[in-house]
Amino acid sequence: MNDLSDGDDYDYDDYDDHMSEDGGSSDGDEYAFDSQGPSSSRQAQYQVFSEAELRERQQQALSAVTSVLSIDENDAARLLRKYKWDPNQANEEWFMNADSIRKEVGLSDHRAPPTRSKTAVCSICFDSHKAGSMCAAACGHLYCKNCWRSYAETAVNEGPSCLDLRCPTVGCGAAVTQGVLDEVLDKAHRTKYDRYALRSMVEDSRRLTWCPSPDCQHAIENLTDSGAVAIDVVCKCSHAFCFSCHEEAHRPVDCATVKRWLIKNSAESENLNWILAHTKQCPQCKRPIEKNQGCMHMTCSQCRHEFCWLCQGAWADHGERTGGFYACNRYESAQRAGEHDEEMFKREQARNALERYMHYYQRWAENDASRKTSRKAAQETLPEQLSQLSEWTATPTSQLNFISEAWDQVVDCRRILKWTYTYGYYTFGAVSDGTGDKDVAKDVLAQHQEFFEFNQGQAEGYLEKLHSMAEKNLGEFRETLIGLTDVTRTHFRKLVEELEKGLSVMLNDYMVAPASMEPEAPAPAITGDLKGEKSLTKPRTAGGKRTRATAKTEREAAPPAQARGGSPRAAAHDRARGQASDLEAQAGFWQCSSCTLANHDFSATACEVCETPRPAH
Amino acid sequence: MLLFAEAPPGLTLTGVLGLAAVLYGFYHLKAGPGNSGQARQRDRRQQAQASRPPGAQHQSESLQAGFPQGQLPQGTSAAKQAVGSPLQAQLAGIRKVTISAPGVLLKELLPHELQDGASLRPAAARVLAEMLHSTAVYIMAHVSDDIGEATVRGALEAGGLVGKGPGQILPHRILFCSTLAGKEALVRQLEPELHIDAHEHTVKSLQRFMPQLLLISARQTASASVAYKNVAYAASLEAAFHTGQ
Amino acid sequence: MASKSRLLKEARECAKAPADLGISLQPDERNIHTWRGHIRGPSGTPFEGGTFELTLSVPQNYPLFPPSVRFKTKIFHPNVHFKTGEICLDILKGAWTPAWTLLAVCQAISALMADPAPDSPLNCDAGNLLRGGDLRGYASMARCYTLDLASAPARQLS
Repeated sequence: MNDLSDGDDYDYDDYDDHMSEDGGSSDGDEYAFDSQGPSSSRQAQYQVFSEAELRERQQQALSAVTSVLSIDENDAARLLRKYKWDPNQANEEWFMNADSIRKEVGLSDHRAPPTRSKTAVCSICFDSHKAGSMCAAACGHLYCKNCWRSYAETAVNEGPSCLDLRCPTVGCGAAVTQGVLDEVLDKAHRTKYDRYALRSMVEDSRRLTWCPSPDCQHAIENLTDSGAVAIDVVCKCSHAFCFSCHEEAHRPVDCATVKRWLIKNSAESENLNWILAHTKQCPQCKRPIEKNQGCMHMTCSQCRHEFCWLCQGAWADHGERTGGFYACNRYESAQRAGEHDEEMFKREQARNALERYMHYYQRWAENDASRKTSRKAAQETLPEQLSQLSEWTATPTSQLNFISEAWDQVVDCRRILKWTYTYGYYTFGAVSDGTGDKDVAKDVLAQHQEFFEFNQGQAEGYLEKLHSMAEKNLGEFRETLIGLTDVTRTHFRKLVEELEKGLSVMLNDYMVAPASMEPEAPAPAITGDLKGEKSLTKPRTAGGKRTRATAKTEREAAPPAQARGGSPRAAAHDRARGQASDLEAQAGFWQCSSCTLANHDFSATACEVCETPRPAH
Repeated sequence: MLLFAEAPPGLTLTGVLGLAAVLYGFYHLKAGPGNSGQARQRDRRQQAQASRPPGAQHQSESLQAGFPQGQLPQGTSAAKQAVGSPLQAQLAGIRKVTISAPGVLLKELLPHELQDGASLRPAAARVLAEMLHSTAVYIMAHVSDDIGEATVRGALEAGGLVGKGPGQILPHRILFCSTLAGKEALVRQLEPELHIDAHEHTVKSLQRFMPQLLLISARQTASASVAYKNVAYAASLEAAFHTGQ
Repeated sequence: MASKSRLLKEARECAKAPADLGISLQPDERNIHTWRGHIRGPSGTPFEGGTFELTLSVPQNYPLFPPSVRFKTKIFHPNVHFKTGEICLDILKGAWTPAWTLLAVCQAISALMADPAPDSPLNCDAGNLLRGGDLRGYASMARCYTLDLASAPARQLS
């Protein structure tokens, strides 16, 4: 596997693993992770459980309590349910005030002495029974078995609340013990009860949740301490989702923003905005009218009122003297006098807001659609293609993993790219219409926006390349694909990390000369990768201000593999190139980075077809 | 009852009530010859009715929009006695009326003013007695403590308005509360067709929930903020309701 | 049927109940799953002197499920809906256990009359009066309705 960890800020060893996870056989996959500081990474530790494993896990939690507090399992389960299956908290609270907790949960210290009399009246059926054939919870209140049975069965039929069954006696509240339940519940109800008990661990605990995929029975435990932060997890059924909100995995955007975005997409408000931006009301019946061509003489289709589109006055007052059918003197003079300003302004604003939203929404939707089709392709047609390919080229399918990886990468990157558009929409609202984050000054925000769009564009560029390449018949493009997969992955990972960190931090990091990180690269000048109108006013190295000329030419040069100013990306490129050249030697040809032709002549200095100089290595 | 605890020795409850009754009668003596009594009042009203144009024209202008004209309330035996009386006509279709006593029936307006005593407005009292013939009436008062409650009850009783007879209100239908919001809750619970109050604030709050309100205010015209379709204005209860006297 | 035999036993117990309890409860002659109760207004409350009639409908799976009880006589109380007579009481919903009897339920309702819970009101006006601290208003209104509607013979002025 490609190892990018040396000198890199972020440790992505295991990101690779679960990206190509497709129902592995090992149980309880764990991903140990080396995070450097709280904000450096949001990769989470988590564990996937099947039902059997879940029972084990529950046993563990129960033992953690029974061993410390010396109460039986049923009581321990009740206690844990109260404290959301956190054994530590349960134990702590117990030691602080055991008595009040006992009362609340229904556990009592003392067992009531057995009744002396031979018979007793069951206060549910009001019949007399032999005391020996009646049951009681720890409180000693006797009821006949039949009544216990109906009581318990009704409770089980009602739902998970049966787990907290208490003695029926008014004011008693003692928990119904395991013993009683064992005696009176029949097998069917017993199974139901146990099922609820198992489910309660997943549902009550904050650290566990069911996989939202419809046919999947797995549960996932979150092993990190992060609270409301969006965490992406992948279940064994290969469904990737956010642990906190159960929506599709959506790093770098947080859960609240995702909800807002999804609501906005479906909301009527956009319709209303459109109406405001593009239509005017009929002066008489107030219905919205959209004018798509023709002269200014409008006739409302519903109420037959005739009016001038420009000034909305009755048409009877118009004619040649007021400017004819295509202009309106009255409107123009009024406009000059400033009467229509506010309305125009509002209309303008609505139009701008709508356009902006459409810009982001279209791209979001496109990427979403693209992801869906690639995912479908990857799942349905790819295995077939791979087996065909392995026949033709006589390579075993295990060696063709890189293709599946590429596809998985495409699917995942499409998802991430899609959410970066959401990020952009909400973060940069203030630049145009004041809907964004108000803490950041407008010009700084504009700077951030440029930076963001640049990075996003870069990442998108790689993705497009990767996608188009993955769609071709891939026999000869193995190394390029591997290299590109790698590079794209890195780009997206960086993008996600940086966006989560926040753009100001990102800019600062970017500015700091990574001399300490890049022993291979030459001592860098500050990168001039931004469109440099507004210069970043805090150069941190002795290099001083970069040359704008170089900056621009560097940006404009398309091939990604060419050297750039010092940055982590440059180092990544270097390494990728190094690896690529090893593979080239193996395969027997080198690929032109501009036209992708397979050149067989290793001694050539330029591509046969397009004459692009071969990159040095 | 503190009021009577402070009375000079020799005066008992009945004594005072008797005195009040006499004063009430005397007032009517002043108005015209003959003894006081409901029958006399009725006769006089009928006479006045004959000599006057129909009641509609005599309503104060601000009320014209408010009260429905038309049939008399059905099933009220007392009403049959006063067919065609303007007040009955004004109250046509109104089965229940709530009245906030301070400022409407009593001269005092605020709770602290009621501590020292309460004085019934005679003209308003007459209107009330008239109303009690044809509609269910509930009286309420915002007071600060038991003393306030006692003075209000005392004033109403002194006016002969409390009791089981016709033209009287049952004692338990006189309600008291210690907060202004409480008064609103009482009115909303009772759901009258008409509520009469002297506090602009209460009328504003209740306007959304009541079919009809009447604000008794010395300022004849409505202030801009209290211009609602279902609120009528009058300077006093007697100005709003003509009893034919 | 389990509910019927239990209801018969309860009917016997109710007939024996002492008069000073202020509660009288009996089943309908034709249908033992319908009961009628009368509760005397507890002394020291504005309901004193009134008698309030209730109807209790008992489900077939009684006592596993609670009866539905409502006031037939109108009452001004935060936890009773003025018009429908519906009662908001925990033991009639979630806190029910089979050990409760119809008589005990009526006792609980009587206790509720003396001790209203204004935080979950079915009658907002009553709830607001109590929450606003206006006990005078609450008592005044409750007493008015008690005398108007819960005292026999009902005396109404036109």
